[in-house]
Order: sequence, then C-alpha cells, then structure tokens
Amino acid sequence: MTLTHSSAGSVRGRPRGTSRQSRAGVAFVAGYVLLLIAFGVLPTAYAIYFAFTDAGGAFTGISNFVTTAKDFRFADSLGHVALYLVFWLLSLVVFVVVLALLLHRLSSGPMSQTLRFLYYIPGALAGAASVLVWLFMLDPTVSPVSSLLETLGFHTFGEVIAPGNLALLFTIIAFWTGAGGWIVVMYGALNNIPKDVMEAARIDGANGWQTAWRVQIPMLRKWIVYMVILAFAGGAQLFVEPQLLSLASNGVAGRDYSLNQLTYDFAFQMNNINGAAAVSVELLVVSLSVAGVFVARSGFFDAD
Amino acid sequence: MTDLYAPAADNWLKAQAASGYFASDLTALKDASSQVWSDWGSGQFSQEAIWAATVKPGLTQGKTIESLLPAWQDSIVKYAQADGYKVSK
Repeated sequence: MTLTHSSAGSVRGRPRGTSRQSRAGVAFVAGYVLLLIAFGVLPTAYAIYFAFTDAGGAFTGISNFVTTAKDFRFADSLGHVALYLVFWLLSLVVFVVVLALLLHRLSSGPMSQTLRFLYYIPGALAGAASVLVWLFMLDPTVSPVSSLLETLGFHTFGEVIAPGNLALLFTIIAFWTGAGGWIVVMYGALNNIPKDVMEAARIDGANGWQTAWRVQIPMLRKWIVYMVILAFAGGAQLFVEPQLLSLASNGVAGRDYSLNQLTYDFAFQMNNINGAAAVSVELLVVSLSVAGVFVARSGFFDAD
Repeated sequence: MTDLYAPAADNWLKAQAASGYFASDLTALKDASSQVWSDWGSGQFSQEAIWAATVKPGLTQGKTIESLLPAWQDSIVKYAQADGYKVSK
C-alpha cells in the first residue's frame, strides 16, 4: 500500500489480473483453511468444551483445572517441563545461530554442502525413531560411544537415566533431532542478507565477530523469534522422549515426567478425559501467550 | 462374584477349547476361581511401575531397599488417591 508508487498503465491492467490471482490465492488458502479447521480449530474447541464440563457433559466451571492442578504429579511435571524448556531454548538459540554463522562463513564450497546435509539428516528421521537411536546411544552396554560414557562415570543404563540427568538428556535428544532443520533455515536467512550490507560492514572494517554480532544476528532476529515460538510450543508438549524412555527403562525413568504425559495418563489410565483436556488447554494458553509476547516485542509482523 | 461371572467363564472356556490353542483342558481355572479371597482386588495403577520409578533409581545410587520403602509406600498412596481410592492407614 504505497501512495507514491503507481502508474496509470498498471491501474488499468490490474482488475483482470488481480482477480485471477486472488482466485488462485483463495484456492490455495482454502485447502489449508479446511485442514486447519478440521485438525486445528475443531479439536481445540472440542478440548475447551471438555475442559469445562464433566463426563456427563454438564458445565463444571474450573473444577477440572483445580482437580488436575491438585494432582500430586502436576507441580513436578510443570517443573520438569520448565527446566527442559530453559535448556532446550537456550541450546537451540545459541548453537543453531553459531552453527549457521559458521556454515555461512564456509560459504558454498563442498564442505558447506556436506555439513548442511549432515546437520539435516537427523531431522529427516521420524521423532520416535531418533529417540530410539538415543536409547541405544545412552546404554553403556550397547552404545557405540560406551567408552565416553564410562569416562563420564556411567557404567549402567540406570546410572545414565538418573532423575537429575533427564532434562539434559531430553535436550540433547531434541537438539539432535530438531536443530538441523533450523540450522538450514537460518543458513537460508543468512543468505538473504543483502550483499551490499555485508560489503558495507567489510569496508567499515568490521571483523568476522563484529559482522556476526552487529549485522547478521540483528538481521536474523525475526527468524530467531520464529524459531523460539515454534520451539517453545513443541518443547512444552514434550512427550515422545520421556514416554519412550519410560517404556525402554521399564518405568524407572520418564514416567509422568511432562505435562503432556500427565494428560495422557488422565485420559487413558484414569479415564478422566475432561482433566486431560483441562491440562491441554493450559498448555495451549501458555504457548499462545508466549508467542503473543514474542510477536509483540519483536515487531514480528512489521514490514521491513 | 463367581456366580456373576460363571456364564462368562463357561463361554470363555468353550471358546478356548474350540480354538485348540491350549493343549489341555482349562476347567481347573473355573474351579479355582471360587477359592479367590473375596476381598481381593487389584488397583487401577501398576504397583510394579511405582516400584520401578521410586525404588530402582535409589538402588542405582546405592541406597538400601529398606531406606526406600517409605518413599514407595508414599507413592503408592498418592497414586491410589489420584485414582480415587480411599486409603486407610
């Protein structure tokens, strides 16, 4: 919507082209909107309905929220997920940005292509499969890096999965699975920084460190915010890692670890779908609020 | 209790016999069912899972089973109450 930039010719030619374009746009968006309604909006509305009613469908106010918050596992899971999110988001922001900058500095040689491929491979595995890979990695009796585990003082699987280590373990697993895709995204964003900006920095005598800190990272800000929003939402829903670990360890570690596991227990162990819905709604509200704060603070939707 | 489930048990035995999966007759199970203590029941939650989650990590750290028993009991009570059982001590 610029007032200065308009020419008579384009105004005359616009109506037909625009209407065809907008029809195509509507067609493309319609498919997405349908799926969004079917698998996003309706289930959410259904969960909200469940969260405020009892098994008979009668309105119960906030009693489901109170019951679930009073559950003896709730505070623990909340603490676990909070600690995990701190580890996960910090490691993601720091290492993804650093690795993407390094990758970008290597420019587009064969080395860079190989590294990009290597970073991305773990992300191509389905979530549960990569967790299984790590269960083998972390068991000193079968691990290919068992000597490293032995050096760190871990001689049995039980020692590796001690309660205090879990947040770190889940962070390592999640980082290995999820960071590659983000490194590739950040690398793309770095390539989008105009050449003249980089050249200007070089002419002004900025070294690699200064260019990264004062030019590249500020221009990556929106991508970083985008990553944090999605990573927060994904991390708050931590489920596959602890659930598989609890199966693999015969319940020694990872049971009732995260809030999402608690909702699973409520729904399928305790037959309390309404309580499960209440916890899910809480997770949704928290994730949406965090996304809102980040979007508002970062000017995410401002045009450049 | 046994009377209530007796017809179901008969059906189950017939189905098992028809399937030919087990080599011998299973009627002994039905006879034994009347000997089960009438107050016996199993919780909705898994005792074994609670043992695994509360006692085993402690054993790994070198604690004694005896020192971990209070934590085990505490956890069982909590799971029972969370599942809606009244626990009398």
